[in-house]
Amino acid sequence: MLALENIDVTLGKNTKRERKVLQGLNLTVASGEFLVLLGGNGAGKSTLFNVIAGGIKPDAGKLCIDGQEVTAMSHAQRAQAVSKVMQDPMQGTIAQMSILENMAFAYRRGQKRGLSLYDNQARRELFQDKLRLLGIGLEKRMHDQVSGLSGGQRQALSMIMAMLQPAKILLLDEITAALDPASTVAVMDLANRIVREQRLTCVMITHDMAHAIQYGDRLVWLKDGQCVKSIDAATKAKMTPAELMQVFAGF
Amino acid sequence: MTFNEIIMSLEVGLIYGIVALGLYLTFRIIDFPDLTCDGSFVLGSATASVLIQAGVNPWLSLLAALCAGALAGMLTAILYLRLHVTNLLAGILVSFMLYSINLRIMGGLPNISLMDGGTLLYDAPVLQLLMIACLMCALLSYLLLTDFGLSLRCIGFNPKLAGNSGVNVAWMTMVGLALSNALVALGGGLFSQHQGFADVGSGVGTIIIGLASVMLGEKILPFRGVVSGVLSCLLGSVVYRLFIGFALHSDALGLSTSDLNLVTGLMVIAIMVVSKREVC
Repeated sequence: MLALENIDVTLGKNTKRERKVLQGLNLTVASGEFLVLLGGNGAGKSTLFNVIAGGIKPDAGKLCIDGQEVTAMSHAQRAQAVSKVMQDPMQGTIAQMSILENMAFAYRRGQKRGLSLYDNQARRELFQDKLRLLGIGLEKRMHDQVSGLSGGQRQALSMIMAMLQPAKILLLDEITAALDPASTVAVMDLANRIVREQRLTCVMITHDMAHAIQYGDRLVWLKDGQCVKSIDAATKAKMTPAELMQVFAGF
Repeated sequence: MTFNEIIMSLEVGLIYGIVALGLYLTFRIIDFPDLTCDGSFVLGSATASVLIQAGVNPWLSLLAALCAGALAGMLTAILYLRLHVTNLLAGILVSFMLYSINLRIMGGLPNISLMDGGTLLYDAPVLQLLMIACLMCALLSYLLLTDFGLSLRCIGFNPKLAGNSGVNVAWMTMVGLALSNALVALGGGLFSQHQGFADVGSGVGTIIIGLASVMLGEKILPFRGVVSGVLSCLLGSVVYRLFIGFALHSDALGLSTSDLNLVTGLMVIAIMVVSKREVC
């Protein structure tokens, strides 16, 4: 379970661009819940993700994961509990390394990185099993450099990488924003399948109203750093993207 | 070029190969343009020489040089990480200040002679140098093939992902700089034992020579992968020395030793022009 209480974040402190991004934000995501987060530009979505991942420390408020307060925990320590798939597939993978090296790197997310070799038979088999889930043959290309993969393949890989080490919270940040329509469908289906099969607690940012309706258990609209509207699965299932837009236009 | 000169080039090439390993670590692995090396090279040289003069075992003197270099690297890291000095300036500042520190270490003398002996590289230095250089290559290759090394490489390629994956990027930058300057200082320590003297001005151009070796090595062994990357530094350094040796000793070209910097600089520019990949 993820719980945020009265979170305040001000960015660019003591500069001309000082701005309150999150103001008394409250949000609770139940264990195994798949929450979809919507909001206009500058609503504070990315900042909220950064707060959850530990990249930004809130000025006030409390953040709990599974009942344990983690507000003061460092970014590095937080990585054990929180995994993130980024918008840009270039950022979620390491282009200059092979698929095997990327997987080995992701395999130690939030763990101690010691002085034993990253490549061994057991790991290779595990990585190949995981890559097989994608069904795009990456398991046979373990030594290929990631820079040679397409955007969709890289995003699929970054998803597998994010899931390689179990996380309590999975954050999906506009994961299809940089993809073509065919890859978008494939990557969203993959994400949904993994979240559902592993009953992950997941928060997804999207700008796509159709995705917001199709996926997730609940929908939350973020505006001016606060959660202003929540719509449950049954209600949103009956809505069209246009109706959804209208609801939010009222805020 | 006589046989002796070729052997001499090989020896100096191996010593600077270790320096090149250090530069490879910062410029290629953690992507930090570290200019501390001009100072840390002399720091290693001065530390080792003073200790040898004081009768300390030459191996131990190298170990001390290694540690001194690591400290210099950490100082650059602290300037960059804590005091938010830009990476280039942090290195230049530390290198600048090291000049005074090196003079202090050397007791105020601009050079120290080790001609009385007590050094490692007295007879058959090629074998010893080859051994030390290969050992460093092996250690560095192994390190880069571990989980730890993988995270060191990741902070250079994708620091954002590294942070999200639980790597303490600041700490790893510090480790990278410490290791790199330790290797450079080891090179300095070996250099003074090989030449039989330490000179406070001997570090000028260490970065350019090291980079020339790294870049030349990448041309000779253009393979991806950590082991070939590490080996290419050593190979590049030896080839660089042989090339310089031929260039400066050939009567046809009419060059003298004082033209070394010009030849090296032109070589670096030439490699950058012909290579398609982004350099530095």
